[in-house]
Amino acid sequence: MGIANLKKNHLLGTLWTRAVLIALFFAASGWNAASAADAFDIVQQQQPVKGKVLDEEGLPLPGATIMVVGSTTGTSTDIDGNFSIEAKTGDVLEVSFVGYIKKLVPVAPGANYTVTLLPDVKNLEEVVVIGYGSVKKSDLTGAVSSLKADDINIGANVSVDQMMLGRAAGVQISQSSSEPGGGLSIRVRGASSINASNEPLYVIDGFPIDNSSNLSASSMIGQTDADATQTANVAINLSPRNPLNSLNPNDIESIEILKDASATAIYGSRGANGVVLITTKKGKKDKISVGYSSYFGAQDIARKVDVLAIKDYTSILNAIAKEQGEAELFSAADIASYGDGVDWQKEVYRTAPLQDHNFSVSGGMGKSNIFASLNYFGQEGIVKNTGINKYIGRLNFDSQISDRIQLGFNMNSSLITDRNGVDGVNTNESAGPIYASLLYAPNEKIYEADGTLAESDFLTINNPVSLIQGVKNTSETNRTMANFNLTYEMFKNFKMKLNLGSDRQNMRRNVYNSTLTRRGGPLGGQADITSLDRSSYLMEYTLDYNKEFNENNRLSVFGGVTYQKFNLFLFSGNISGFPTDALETNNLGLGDTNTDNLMSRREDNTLLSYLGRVNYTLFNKILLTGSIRADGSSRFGSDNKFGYFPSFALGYKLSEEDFIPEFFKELKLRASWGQTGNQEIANYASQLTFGTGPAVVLNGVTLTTVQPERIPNPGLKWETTTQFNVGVDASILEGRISATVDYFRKYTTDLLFNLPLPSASGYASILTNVGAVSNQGFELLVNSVNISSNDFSWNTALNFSAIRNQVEDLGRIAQIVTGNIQAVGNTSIIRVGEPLAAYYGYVVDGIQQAGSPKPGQPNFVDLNKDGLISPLDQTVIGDPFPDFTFGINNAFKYKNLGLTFFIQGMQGGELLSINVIESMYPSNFRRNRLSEMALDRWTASNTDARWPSFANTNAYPGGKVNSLVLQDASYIRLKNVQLSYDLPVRSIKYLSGLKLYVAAQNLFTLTDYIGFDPEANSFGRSNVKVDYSSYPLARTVTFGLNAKF
Amino acid sequence: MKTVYKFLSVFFVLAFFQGCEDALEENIYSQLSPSTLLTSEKGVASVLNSAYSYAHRNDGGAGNWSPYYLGSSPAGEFYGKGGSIESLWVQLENFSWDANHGQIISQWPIYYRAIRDANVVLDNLDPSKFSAAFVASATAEAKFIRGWAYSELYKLYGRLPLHKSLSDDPLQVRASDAETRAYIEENLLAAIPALPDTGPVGRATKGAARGVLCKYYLNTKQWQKAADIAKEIIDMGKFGLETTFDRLYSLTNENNKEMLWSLPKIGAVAATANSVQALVFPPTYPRPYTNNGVFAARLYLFDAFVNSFQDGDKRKSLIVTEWKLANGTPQIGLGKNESFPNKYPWDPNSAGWQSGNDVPVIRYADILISRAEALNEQSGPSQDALDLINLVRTRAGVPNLTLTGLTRESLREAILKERSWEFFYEGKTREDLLRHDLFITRAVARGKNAKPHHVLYPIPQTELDANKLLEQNPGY
Repeated sequence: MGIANLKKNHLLGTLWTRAVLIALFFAASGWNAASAADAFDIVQQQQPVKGKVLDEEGLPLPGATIMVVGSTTGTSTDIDGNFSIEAKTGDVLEVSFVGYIKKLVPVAPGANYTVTLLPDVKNLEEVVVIGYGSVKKSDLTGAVSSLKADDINIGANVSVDQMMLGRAAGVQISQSSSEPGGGLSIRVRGASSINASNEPLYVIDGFPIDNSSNLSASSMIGQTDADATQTANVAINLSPRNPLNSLNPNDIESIEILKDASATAIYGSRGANGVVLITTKKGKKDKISVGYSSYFGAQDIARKVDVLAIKDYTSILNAIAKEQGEAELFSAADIASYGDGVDWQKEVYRTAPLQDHNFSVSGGMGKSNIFASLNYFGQEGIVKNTGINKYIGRLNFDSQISDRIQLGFNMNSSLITDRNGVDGVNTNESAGPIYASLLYAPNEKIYEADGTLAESDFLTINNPVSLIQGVKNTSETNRTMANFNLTYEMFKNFKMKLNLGSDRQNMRRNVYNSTLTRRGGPLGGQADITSLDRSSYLMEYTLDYNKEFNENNRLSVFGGVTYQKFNLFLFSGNISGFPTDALETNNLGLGDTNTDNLMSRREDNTLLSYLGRVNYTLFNKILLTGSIRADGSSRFGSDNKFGYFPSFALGYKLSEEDFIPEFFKELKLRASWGQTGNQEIANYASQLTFGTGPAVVLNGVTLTTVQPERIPNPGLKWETTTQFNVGVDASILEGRISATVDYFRKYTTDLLFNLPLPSASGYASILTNVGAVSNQGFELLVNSVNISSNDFSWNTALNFSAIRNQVEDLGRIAQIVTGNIQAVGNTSIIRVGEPLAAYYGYVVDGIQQAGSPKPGQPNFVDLNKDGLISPLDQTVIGDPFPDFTFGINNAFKYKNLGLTFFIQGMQGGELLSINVIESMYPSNFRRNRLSEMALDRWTASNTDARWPSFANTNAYPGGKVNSLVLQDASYIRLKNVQLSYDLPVRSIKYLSGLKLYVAAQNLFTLTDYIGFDPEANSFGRSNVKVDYSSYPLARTVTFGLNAKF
Repeated sequence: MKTVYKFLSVFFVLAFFQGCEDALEENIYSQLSPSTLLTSEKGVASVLNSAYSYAHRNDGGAGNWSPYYLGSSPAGEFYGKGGSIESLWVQLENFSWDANHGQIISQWPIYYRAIRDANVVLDNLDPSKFSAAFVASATAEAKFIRGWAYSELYKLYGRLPLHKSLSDDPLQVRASDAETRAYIEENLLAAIPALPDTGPVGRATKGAARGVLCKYYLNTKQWQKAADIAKEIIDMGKFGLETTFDRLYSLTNENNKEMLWSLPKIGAVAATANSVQALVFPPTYPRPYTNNGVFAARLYLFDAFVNSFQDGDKRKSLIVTEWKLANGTPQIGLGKNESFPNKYPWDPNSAGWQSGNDVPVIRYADILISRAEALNEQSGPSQDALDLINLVRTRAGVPNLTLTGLTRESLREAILKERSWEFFYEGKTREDLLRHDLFITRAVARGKNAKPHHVLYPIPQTELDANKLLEQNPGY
């Protein structure tokens, strides 16, 4: 009914009528309740009754409510659990407290008014937060992964999204860069968009935040390599900084990941990639509890990638030179003079400390609760000159200021200072220390005799130490998120809620490339400062009506309107030619003004949405949910500002039926269908605008120019994902074993797709709604209480998911070759029938053996059999998506001792390592090689080698992207192990809990992959995956304590 | 009554939100709309500047440096080693390039962007809004840029999709060879009348337009037209030979009388920079200024070429055959096929690899020799033709050619030799050999796997992927 009205009214085209209809819809539902709610009787009282309320442990329960039944007289207990209320003999007192079974106490002379309340086990049933509300887990009709703080807050958690890694079925989280503070790439149920964002929406305590990439370590805010330009001639680091760094993982109460359309459609145009709801801790009860937790740890490189040491380096390069028909590079005397050579990786990596201190206060007074926390987190990176410091404060306040009015206020403020790595997708002189330390020859010196940094005569790579010492890349980010909400119970069962939010962040990045480097030297040092201000404001007004008509019919209706505006200001300036490196970026005025470059940008965009949801429960067995969101976005063409996103879901609690054996504690079938959208594209894509063109020299001076930005597309509209989901929730053996199984099919159409244009048109592409991508998959979550006795318990949680991704349609285009890497070319293809950004290249079926035309050369396959190895022989050679991913957590508890270990991994799926390509096709013969490859190269005496001879590799036919260099990225990782001990502290005054633990992360990874991490992606959040000198994963050991006072 | 207020409050809030509806209009702050930009002469001129920028191949990368290699490497003029660029060079040298070759694909978009911006200008020169003088000069400049861009593209790829206006369908078929040629000629001819004779470096002038047209006629073997327009240029009296090579390529004398059309560069920022030394000399080569930088790659001239110069030829002094490391160790290039072309002086104002050497495209010397070549092809050797060549030879300090014993074939051979000495490392050898059908045969004679289809480069693969209407050149 509501949905029909919404649709029809938009056709009428007037928003006013739309608004009125929503209001009437809710008003009509609330009408009956109104008069009843207004009619309260007032009853006089006669005598004071004094008593005390205790909890199940005999401790005073402050804040419990005592009401005289049938009257409005009521009070609550004080801090010691005492109460006093006026009542007369014959009255009945109702004693209640949230989460406890209420008790009725008749007022009688001489009665004992010490009341012990027992916890309400039924009420303790898990509540799951959903979009704009929460439901009991048993009433859930959508597919939602729910993570509780206790399950996930183990070991060193640098960011909130890292806590989810491997723990939720259907949610693939890749640590695309393991750099401290580096961003993660999250795919909820696959990747459904080619050019728009694939990252989920984050909603923190009801406030959808702007999670767009922050300035990357290269001061870019774009998401694609196309936007990439070098800052201060430092490598382009495409990994975004993690926008969630500003949250304190210790503050998290729960994380819910909404996956199917029934759960996400209420977020409409931002729901297609899933929604992550983050709920922070609230003050509880009338007890003030103070907590302090801390950990210290050390990190080390988890997986080393060995390169040739001096002896192998000289002998293998000499041998290859000889095979190439050239003179040997190193004479015996040379080799003797090198001694042990230099282990450049040792100069770049280190064992790095990290620490975390968290102080929190939680509690309440009267009807108000408060939670406040302060957090410091400091992490040095395992690559020298990298690290992060975070200072985060939070205040959550909520208050029942009257029977009908409730208000809440959440504020989170953070300061983050970063020192960033400068490795990225660039090569040679522009690359960073990780790259340089893999390739710099071990026979080169670190320092000259006079103590200055040495520079190789042969290699046009920076001395890795000069990059560590000579490039400064720092940033400072302030982010404050605050939201305020007011709930007013207008009539019985009918509430309105006003939610206001503000999220402001400003970030400043300073990059200085000093004269110590090959790029900085000739430029006289180069400095760049980029400053980004992002903010968003939310205004939201919702109405909620709940009515239990009778035990067989329950209805809840929800609706509202929300407005969110996003602003962006960007400013950057760079200059080179400094008289000295001393001042770095602190005085740009000292640079040579002929080299300066200024840029600024301002943008805003707006979302205006109308939303509604109806839940109906029949016979407590059948759960029906319908929702719709009408989303208007400024980003779309004038004809298509609004998109409509409906969903329907059906749940059937089979376990409530008599024909289902008691064996099942819970058995529920779920089915849902719905549509969600994606609007995460750049602003202004529908319009013709002119922006800055390339500079030109005319009349001897450099002039700015103006060029058209795009071909306008006034018809641009939403990308729509239609998702179908069926699932089963079951639990047996009194809940000892529970499982959730889901199957989904997501079909995304009208892709926001940069449809390639022939560049003869003057443009590379036009953003169009063309094409389709599908994702289908299977998810399984099993929780099992294997053993549960007084002294010993063992719980296992397992999640598993298998997702198939496929490009279904690309409009008039058959394929797009993409993922360009300097000196390598394109790595990937978007082609109908293949997974998104599949690896594309040549097939190598082995190494040519003696007797072949080119012994030792990889044998490229002439797929089209035209007698030539040409681009026509390229094909899809790999899938960047895993066949399946899994996580297994085991938790053991013996008395006060706890042990948990968490294993996660993925199977199938490939990853292209550009470092492997570099090693096979060195840009300069004297560059070092990866040991694993060079030591197993083909020679006349090592004929079953995995790798070719590496002689004359520039003359190899085919291309650098081929099946020989593409690697299987399957891995199994022991992600976390934690051993903890709860000290018996009952006897210690002021201390109510003390836990000590030791935890380790990334202890080992089983994989055949040659590289630092099979999960890495140097393209950051992009669907195109390559590993190019990505920041190595750290193995971390921490010692920590949690104390409660 | 209370109930009514409550309802009113609901309506009030909803009405408030409804007021936000206008906010869905996009506010554009940092970019310009057609109505703010294209209504002033200054605005249109700023788009014309962008057209110039692309016409000058200002992309700070492959777009800028590739023409040297595309125009020379497969013709056997030189070879390169080192750096990741080596594999691209090897493909050009060995005729193993394909439609994904980074340097081949770099030229297509850069010229077509120049065409796009020229089309924006031409589409928006409303005579009712702008002065007649502005309309005339902007029209001529835009047409010159279009003619230049299409003629360069034609040289590389053959017949082309012709984008004549922004309103054209982005998906175009390749026009026929005749249509393509006609369109190039039409644009350049239309540009000439309203252009000034000469002007600052990089701007369209009569000299530049006639120069481009002359080379276009020559390369398409329209000998008479080539000879005639060369004569027109000579008769303009505005151009001449610089007295010495020092002055010809000097950074302080860039707008000299020999340059009909050169692409101005300044090294301060990458976009407008040249990289003529950075891709020639090795890191060990002593650089005169501390702010000079080089890449990993080196470019070498073959001994046979270095030894082919006649005694006393001053042009040979622009080749480094031996040099010293910083510590004084002598390095001999000649004898190892490792001599460096040293035509362009090191820029004292370079920013690392980014130097400010202008790219000479059409020099007066080229016009003189081109007319001589056209005359010879048209009617065999003549003193007129030799006189033109001898002007160039005199400057180089080598004796005049004489008519005695010359045939059309032997003069053609002499002209090609002359051109190789005069124009090495200017990216011209490929077109010179193509004109006389020697490009493939000479490559085969050098032992390269050159096939007839290699006379044209392939259309970039991404272009074919984006536009099914395009056909690839045969053989690719």
